[in-house]
Amino acid sequence: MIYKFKIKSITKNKVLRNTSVTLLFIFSFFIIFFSKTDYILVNKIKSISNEYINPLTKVVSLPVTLTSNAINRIEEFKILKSENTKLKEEILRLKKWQILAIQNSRENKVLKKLLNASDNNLTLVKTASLINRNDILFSKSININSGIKDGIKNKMAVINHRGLVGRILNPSLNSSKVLLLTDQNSSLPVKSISDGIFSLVQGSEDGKHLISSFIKNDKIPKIGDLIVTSGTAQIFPPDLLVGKIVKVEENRYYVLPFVDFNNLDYVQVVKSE
Amino acid sequence: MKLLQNYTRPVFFYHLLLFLSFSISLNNLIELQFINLLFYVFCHFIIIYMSLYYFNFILYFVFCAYGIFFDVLLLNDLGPHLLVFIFLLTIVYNSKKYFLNLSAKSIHYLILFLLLLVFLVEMLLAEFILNYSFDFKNFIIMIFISLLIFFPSIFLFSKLDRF
Repeated sequence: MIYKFKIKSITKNKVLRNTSVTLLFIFSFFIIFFSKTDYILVNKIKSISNEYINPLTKVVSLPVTLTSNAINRIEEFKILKSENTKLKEEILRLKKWQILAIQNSRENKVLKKLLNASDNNLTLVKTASLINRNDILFSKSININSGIKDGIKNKMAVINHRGLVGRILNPSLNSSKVLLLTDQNSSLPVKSISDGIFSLVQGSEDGKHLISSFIKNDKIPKIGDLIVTSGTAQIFPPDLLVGKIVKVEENRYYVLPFVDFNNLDYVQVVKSE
Repeated sequence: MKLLQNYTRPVFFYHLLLFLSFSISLNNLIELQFINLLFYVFCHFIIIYMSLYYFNFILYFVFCAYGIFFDVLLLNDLGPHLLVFIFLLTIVYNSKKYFLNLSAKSIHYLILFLLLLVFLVEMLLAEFILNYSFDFKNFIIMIFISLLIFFPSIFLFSKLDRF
C-alpha cells in the first residue's frame, strides 16, 4: 500500500518526475559509456541478464520451443528410413577409419617418445550443455549452464569434438555466455598448418565464414589449407582446429569453421596448462 | 474485485504481451528463425503502441530495462536498444500534441513509419557504437514482417483496447 502510494506520488509530482527522467538519461549514457570497460556496475548488469533474465525468458518461451521441437521431430521422422541406410554405410566406413586411427595413435606416441616432444596439454575445465542461443540478430553467442562456480573465467576457450567454438564472455555464477567464432567482434590469431602463415581472422557479415583481417608478411595461404589457433594472443591454446580455407581474394581469405554452430548441444571449456 | 479489475486493464495485457514477445525473440529456434524475428518486430510494435496510447512516466523505467536486456542479450554490450527506447518515448511524448488532429488511419501509418525508423536507427547505432555491420538482409526481412503483421496487430490491439 505504502509502495503504491509512493509510486503514485512520484508520478503526480512534476518536479520529481522530471528529475527522475533526467537521472535515468544520465544513468543510461553513463552505462553506455562504461559498457566497454570492466566497470563493476556494467559487469553486474551483464551477469544479472545472463543469470536471471535468460532462464526466465526460456521458461516463458517454452510453449514455442516445444512446438518448434515437435515440428523438427516430424521432419526428422519423414527422412528416418533414408537416414538409417546412410548411417549404416557411415558406420562401416568409420570402423575402417577407427582401426587406422588406433594404429596412428600408437605410432604417434612412440614417435613422440623418441623425439622427447611435449604434448599440447589442454586442461578440461568443464563440459557444459547449451541453455539457449542468441545468434540471429547482431551478435552470435550462446549460453551454457556452467559459470564461475565451476571454475570458468572470462576469455577461456570453448571447444567441441570438431574444433574451436568460441570464448567465454561475462561468466556469471551458474551460467556463461560464449561468443562464437562467427561473431563480427570475435578476433582470433591463427596459423595455416601447411605453410605456418600467421594471421588474424574474425567473423564475417554472413555469419557463416571467418575472414582474415591481418596477414603477417602479406603471404596468402592456399585454398584447402587447414587453419589452427596460433596461441600467440595467449587467449586460445595453440593448435586447436578452427576451419578450412574456402576462398582466397587478393589480400584476404575466407575460412569455413569445422564446427557446425547449428548443432551445438555440448561444449567443453578448456585452458592450456 | 478491485484487485482483479487492476489486472484486467488493457495496459496489463500489453505488458504481458511485451514480455512474452521479448522472451520468444531472445530464444533462437534454429528451424523457425522467422518466428524469433516476428516476435522481435512485434515487441517493437508494442513498445511504440504503448508509448503512443498508454504513456505513463513509469514506462521510462520499463523501457530502459527492456533496452538494457535486449542490448546485453543480443549485442553483449549496451547502446542501441537502450538509446532508441528512451528517446522514442521522449520524442513521442513531446510530439503527441501534433498527432491529436490526425485520423486513426494516419496514426496507424505513423506507427508503421516509426517501427521501420526504429529498426534502421538500431542497426545504424549497432554499426557505429558496437561494430556490427548493417545487416541489409535482416532489415529487409524485418520490413517484410512489419508489413505482414501490421494489420493483424492493429486489429488485436483495437480489441484489447476495448477490453
